[in-house]
Amino acid sequence: MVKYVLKRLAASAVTLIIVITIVFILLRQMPIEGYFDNFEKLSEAQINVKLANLGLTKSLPAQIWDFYVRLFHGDVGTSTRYSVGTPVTQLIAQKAPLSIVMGLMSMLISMILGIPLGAAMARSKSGFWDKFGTVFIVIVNAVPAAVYYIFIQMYGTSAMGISMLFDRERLITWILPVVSMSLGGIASNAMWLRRYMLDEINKDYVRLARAKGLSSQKIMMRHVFRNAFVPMVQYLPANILYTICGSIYIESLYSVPGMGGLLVDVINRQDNPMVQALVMLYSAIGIIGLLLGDLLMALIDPRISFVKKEGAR
Amino acid sequence: MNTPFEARKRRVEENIAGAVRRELTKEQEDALFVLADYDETAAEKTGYSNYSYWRSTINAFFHNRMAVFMLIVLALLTGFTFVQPLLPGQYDPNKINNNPVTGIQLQNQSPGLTTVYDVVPDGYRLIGQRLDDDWYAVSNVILTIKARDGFTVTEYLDTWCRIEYKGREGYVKNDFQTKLKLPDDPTAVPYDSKSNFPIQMFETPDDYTNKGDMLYAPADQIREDEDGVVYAVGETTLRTIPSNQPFLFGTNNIGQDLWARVWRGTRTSLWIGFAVAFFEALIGIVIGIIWGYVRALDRLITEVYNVLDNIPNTIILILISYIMRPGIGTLIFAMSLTRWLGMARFIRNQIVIIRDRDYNLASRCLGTASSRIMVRNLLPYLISVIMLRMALAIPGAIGSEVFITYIGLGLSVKTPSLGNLINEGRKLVTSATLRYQLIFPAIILSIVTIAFYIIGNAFADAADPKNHT
Amino acid sequence: MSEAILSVRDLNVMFSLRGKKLHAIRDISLDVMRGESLAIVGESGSGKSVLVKTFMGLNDANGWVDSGEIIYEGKKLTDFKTEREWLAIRGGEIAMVLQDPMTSLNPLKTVGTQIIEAIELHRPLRGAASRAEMLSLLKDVGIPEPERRSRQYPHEFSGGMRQRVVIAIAVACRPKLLICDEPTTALDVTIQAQILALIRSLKAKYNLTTIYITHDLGVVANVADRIAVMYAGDIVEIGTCDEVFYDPRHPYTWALLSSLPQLGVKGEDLYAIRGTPPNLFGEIKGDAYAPRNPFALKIDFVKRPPLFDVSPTHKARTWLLDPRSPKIEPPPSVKKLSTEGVKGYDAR
Repeated sequence: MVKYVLKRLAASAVTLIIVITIVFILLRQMPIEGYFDNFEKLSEAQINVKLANLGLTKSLPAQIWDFYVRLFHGDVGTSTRYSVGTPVTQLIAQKAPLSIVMGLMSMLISMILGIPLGAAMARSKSGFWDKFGTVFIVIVNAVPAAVYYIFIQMYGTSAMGISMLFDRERLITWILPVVSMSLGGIASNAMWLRRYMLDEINKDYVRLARAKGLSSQKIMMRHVFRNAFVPMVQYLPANILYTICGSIYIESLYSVPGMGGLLVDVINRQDNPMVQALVMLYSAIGIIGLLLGDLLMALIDPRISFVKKEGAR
Repeated sequence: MNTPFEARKRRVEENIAGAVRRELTKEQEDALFVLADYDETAAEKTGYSNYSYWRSTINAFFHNRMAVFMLIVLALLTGFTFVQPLLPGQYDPNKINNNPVTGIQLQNQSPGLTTVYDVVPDGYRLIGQRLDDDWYAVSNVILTIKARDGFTVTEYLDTWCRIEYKGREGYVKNDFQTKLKLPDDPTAVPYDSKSNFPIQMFETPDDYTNKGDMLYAPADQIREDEDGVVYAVGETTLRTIPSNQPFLFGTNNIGQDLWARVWRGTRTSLWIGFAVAFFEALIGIVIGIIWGYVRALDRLITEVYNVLDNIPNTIILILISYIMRPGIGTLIFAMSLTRWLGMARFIRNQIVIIRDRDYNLASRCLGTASSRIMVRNLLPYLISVIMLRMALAIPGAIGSEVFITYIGLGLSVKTPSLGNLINEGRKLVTSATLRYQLIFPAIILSIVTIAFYIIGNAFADAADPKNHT
Repeated sequence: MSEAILSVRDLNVMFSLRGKKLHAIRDISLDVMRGESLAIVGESGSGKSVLVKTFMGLNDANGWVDSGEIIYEGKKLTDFKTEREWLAIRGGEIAMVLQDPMTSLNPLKTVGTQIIEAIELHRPLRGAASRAEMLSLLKDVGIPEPERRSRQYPHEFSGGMRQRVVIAIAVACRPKLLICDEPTTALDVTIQAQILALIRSLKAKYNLTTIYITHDLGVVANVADRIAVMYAGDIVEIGTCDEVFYDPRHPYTWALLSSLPQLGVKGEDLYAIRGTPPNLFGEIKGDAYAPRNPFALKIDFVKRPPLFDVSPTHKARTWLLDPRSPKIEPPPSVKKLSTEGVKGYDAR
């Protein structure tokens, strides 16, 4: 077990380093304008001085080395266009808490609503909840989030009689962004739980439990739901990803002053150091999310440390 | 196969059917106590033998009415994106339509099924000017009276007032805009009035203008009399634009025809979707096969897979779109870069697992050639999953395109796509009257993505032998 | 031995599959005697599993008893409507051992928990008492170190050991009737004999009546007092072990016996029944086995044979027993059986 955890941790660390390095190299291919807030007005000499200051005139391996040394000291550069001269870490630290709070809230909602929905769908196969849930899942999965988010914002705000923009102080303006963000999670929780529960229902041990004289209610609770929930744990981090991807869009749609909206802003202003830091951060969240999922799995499934894993996850 | 056996079988069946129809008499029954012909083929036939995977799959698919309906809708829709530009009288999706009189863009024209504004009877007097060989720009506004010009109201009607101004008779609207000062005694006409605003004096108590602008009449229905005064010849249709072709979906904020843009955009988006699906299948299958068969590369590809799979797809998409120049090629490349992962892993796992699965072992032991194993046993299963993934890749790609466009890395508005149409429409949501610019592309997009999603899933269900009867 | 613990009268069970009706059990009547060991033999799809699942109300939701009745200890099971009524029967009165021990235990719960769950369902034991009972059950079914093993998960057990756990669960509630649905099919040959011996010893210890479902005549010979041969949802022959092995009357029983490996002659192909069982969608005219039967009479295609009594304990559903039928001898290999005996059966 300990060995498995250590191996998994090491693998994630290696992946993280590879990903950060690739992102770094890729972003070096960008035009250099992204490092200046007044590129047009500068002479070539001034540009070269600034580039040298930023360490961008060195060879690529040297740049990578510098980057890691600075990263180790908690320095990922300063914003060049979005908020000139401010350290990137400071900007992100300002914006991150709100995103995290909203992300956690919507994850919570997606579990509170998605899990009972999935369970109800599995229990009432081709009954009302199954049909309702299927329509919901088809719409949420098929229609791009970008589209239904707009419609929720458009009709939701007018129905509630509130402004289209987010206001941290007014609790009512939190509802629509958080709910929108959780829709994808609700659908995926419901869909997977339903699928896993139906898989479990057809297994022999459920038949044996029935033959034992256990009521369907108890079979559902003690065996089917519990067992179906175990693989769901692996999707918990996938849910984090859903939330992240949703938040990029939602935050900028409602002007939520969080990280997601920040990413859109800095992309539009071509602020290279900011884009680099945010992309790396999001990748790291993804990698850590998957790691946590695997570790959680190992914790609750007694089989995991015994079963030899397939080459690909 | 029309052997004597068939004939005999039919005879037996007929005998049986005949025998069952009437109750057997004792004698008839006794006569049946003799050995029947034993036919080995008949014995083999009793089971469930005439099973064909593809026929059953297609049957099962066509039993799903929703999926068939969606398939038809999708086929018609896709077909129409190609047919639409060939239809007569279509606007170019990138042409900016201007008002021919003022030269201002025909922006935010409401959607409509016709350009006809109204029909006026023969001999109706209008003020007009010739535009070109085919069209007159007309209205029934005689004059625009300047502010504070005095005029005499000669009669009050419900919403109009008949007035006299410098010896000419005409009508003005009696609404809050004209701000006619009412007389102390409303019955007292004539009444000298002054207005604070420029008001239009109409020929008749009807407003034959397009919100104050000119209307358009076909030249062959107009007789020009004196300077600026024209007459209707026969029933004359007045149109809002000098064309019989309406803006079915209205125009956008720079006067481009939304109808044409939506169909061009649908075509672009479908094209991106199909291309991504194609590359997903192509790259995925090739890498998957190499991954599964070439043991030496297994480790390497697994590591590459793990790295790529660990990064959120959206982030890769954003990064690539950010680095490369915006365009269809970039979008297809950025999406294909991550989508093949799932496909390759699926193919690889299938190759590894199915290769050694019992039934193939059984086939091999029976001496079936490997190629036949591939075609009969592996291929149907693989193809059905590949088709499912491709079907789901299309709505996925369309959705990604919308997302990338939203964050400002998508196609320019010169290349209409559902993504940038929705993004343009989104900017106008605050105005209820302009929401059509978002709703039309959103509806088409939702139909396309839902259709692909449902068809893909229905096909996957149909391809599952568990659902075959 | 003469009193029936379970009797089935004219039972018809139907399934609905994608709009088509499947007639899975066709007019079966059967008495299971208290304390006996009955084996139900048949090919896959002959309806033997459906039959015993009907005894416990365990058929899938798309299946129903169309007509007929099942009476267990004076209770008419076919009248049961709610799950509550069935819960008293399942486990407590009739218990079941499934075919594949690898899948019939919940992989995420310890073996001990799963046995305790069964104990506490039907018996007034709780806490330490049920735990002690669980440990003694594990000992009864021959699992060493019950204390340690009870805290392990199913994947830490071998197939044979798991089947012992499944059997422990089955007898945990002291049922009167134990149904073993192909209990040894998924096990190694060496383990099979152990498991069968275990069931036999538990049968004696707890006064169980047992029903075995199997397609393996070797197993039957080992454990059964009586044999019922099923074909296409119908019992075509039923009798004591001796009667069915040494004096079989139905051509299908002949065919089954002929395909016993023991009867093969070195250098000759082993006998195999040709074709597949009939499709149970739609009605079957006459004798369902007729198209595959080399001894079929013309009447077999027309009219369903009644159950003819061969002896008070032996019945067969074939027109060959009608006095009007031509005299037809069983194949020589089957006759050989009655002179040479069945290996394993006589060793008992």
